[in-house]
Amino acid sequence: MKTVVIVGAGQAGSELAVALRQNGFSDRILLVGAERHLPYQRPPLSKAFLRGEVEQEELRTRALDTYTNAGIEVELDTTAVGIDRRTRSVALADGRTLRYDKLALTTGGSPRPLRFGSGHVAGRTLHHLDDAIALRQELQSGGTLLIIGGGFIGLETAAAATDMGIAVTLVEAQPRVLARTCPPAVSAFAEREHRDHGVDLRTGVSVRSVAQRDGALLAELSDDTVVRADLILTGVGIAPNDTLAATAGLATDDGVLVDAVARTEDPDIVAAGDCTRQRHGFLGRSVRLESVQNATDQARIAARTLCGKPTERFAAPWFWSDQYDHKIQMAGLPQTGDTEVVRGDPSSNSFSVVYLRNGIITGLHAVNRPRDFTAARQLVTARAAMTGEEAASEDLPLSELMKRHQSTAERSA
Amino acid sequence: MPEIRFIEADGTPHPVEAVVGQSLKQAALDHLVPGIIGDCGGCASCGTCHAYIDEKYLPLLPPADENEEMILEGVPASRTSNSRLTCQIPVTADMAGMEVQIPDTQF
Repeated sequence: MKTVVIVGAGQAGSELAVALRQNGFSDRILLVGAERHLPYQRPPLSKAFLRGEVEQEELRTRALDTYTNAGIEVELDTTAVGIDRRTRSVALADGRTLRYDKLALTTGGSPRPLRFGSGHVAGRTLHHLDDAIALRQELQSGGTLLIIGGGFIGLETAAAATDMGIAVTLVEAQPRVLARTCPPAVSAFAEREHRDHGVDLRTGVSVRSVAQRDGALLAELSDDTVVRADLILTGVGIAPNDTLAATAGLATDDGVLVDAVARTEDPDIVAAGDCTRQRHGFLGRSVRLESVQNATDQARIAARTLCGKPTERFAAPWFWSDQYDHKIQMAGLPQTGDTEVVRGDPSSNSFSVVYLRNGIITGLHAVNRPRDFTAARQLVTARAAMTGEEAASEDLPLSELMKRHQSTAERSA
Repeated sequence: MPEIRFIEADGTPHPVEAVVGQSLKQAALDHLVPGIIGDCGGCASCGTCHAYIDEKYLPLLPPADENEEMILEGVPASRTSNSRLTCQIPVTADMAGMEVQIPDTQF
């Protein structure tokens, strides 16, 4: 009887456990999670859950019965504190040890802490279900919210809070929001929408210090203005939870290092999801990805590896964000130096930005254009040829370019 | 608890006791049916829960909205008149006996 221990019961851990069964592993599976909740979907925490449109039971990736019926043992509220690779065992905070034959690390990430100059009032973060439960309760009782960080978490929370009638100020240290992940046209769209919805959005400013006075928080900004808020939320990215791996002597570099089939350097240990820095099968380079699609896809790859069927992934990564009634969808992972071609009118609510490199499409960011997005996901995965004129041409649906690519590929096959 | 039969592209059947009110996608996930992915969690953003619905049962389903139509246009497997995103279909009692064909690819 072999035992697979999975440390981390987020979306990667849940998917990995299930995928082991789907790939025919019939021995013992133990899924260990530090949170008190069954594995749940994180994306709605800053969207529908915050607005009160879905309840926590609906966030579960799978029902409790699913694990029971599949013979997956789930240990919640249980933190792993060490790995002994020699004896193949995991030490738990409650003093127990778990023996494994194979170990999977799906420990996720943690919000990066933000320290303010002299005042030491830390902002809250939104990453766990318990964070969202508390934040939702507070937002329901009104007040004002200061959000530090104009990334996806900050912007999605700003949209949800605004929908709930909360006055929101959002500050971003970079000259534009979404600077790390999106082209300027998409940033400009997001800034416009948030301002139109009443968010006091300020870019190019950071928070110098935070003081507490008369039950309110006073944030002094780098432009010498002061923002008063009842609550401060920081969303300045996540750091991979790779300490457990590093302490056990596994190689890490801002993430647990894994190859294209989720293997660490220890043949008995795989890792998947936000905690990893991976050699990406499709991209062919080392990346750290923070997304559900990566977490679940890499978890399925890790499960196949553990079942002796290692398979590299072949598809382009993709991401999405919902803000107000708008869908921002991204296919591929463009790099610095890729050419950006705007498709449609960037001052409207529906346009895309296509990325090209050496005549090949490498990515696409779609604002309210699911049609462009789904076609682009296939085009990027197929490494299809495309000219700048074709990318910009509104008369030419991207799905037509996919058909052309397929027929060219068939002819040359 | 209507029984719904999911059928993999290679013909492997997965009879599932679905819960009324949950989505067809969630019924598949809860019963370890391979080939229904549902990465976006059910907000019709990703198209990885695409499946072919039994023709006879199509009239029972809420029609696809504009967004679902656009996502279906770009699914990698062939799109047919009975293609749907299973995350957009709530299970009802009258779906007992319905067959759902899973496409050969979702990526």
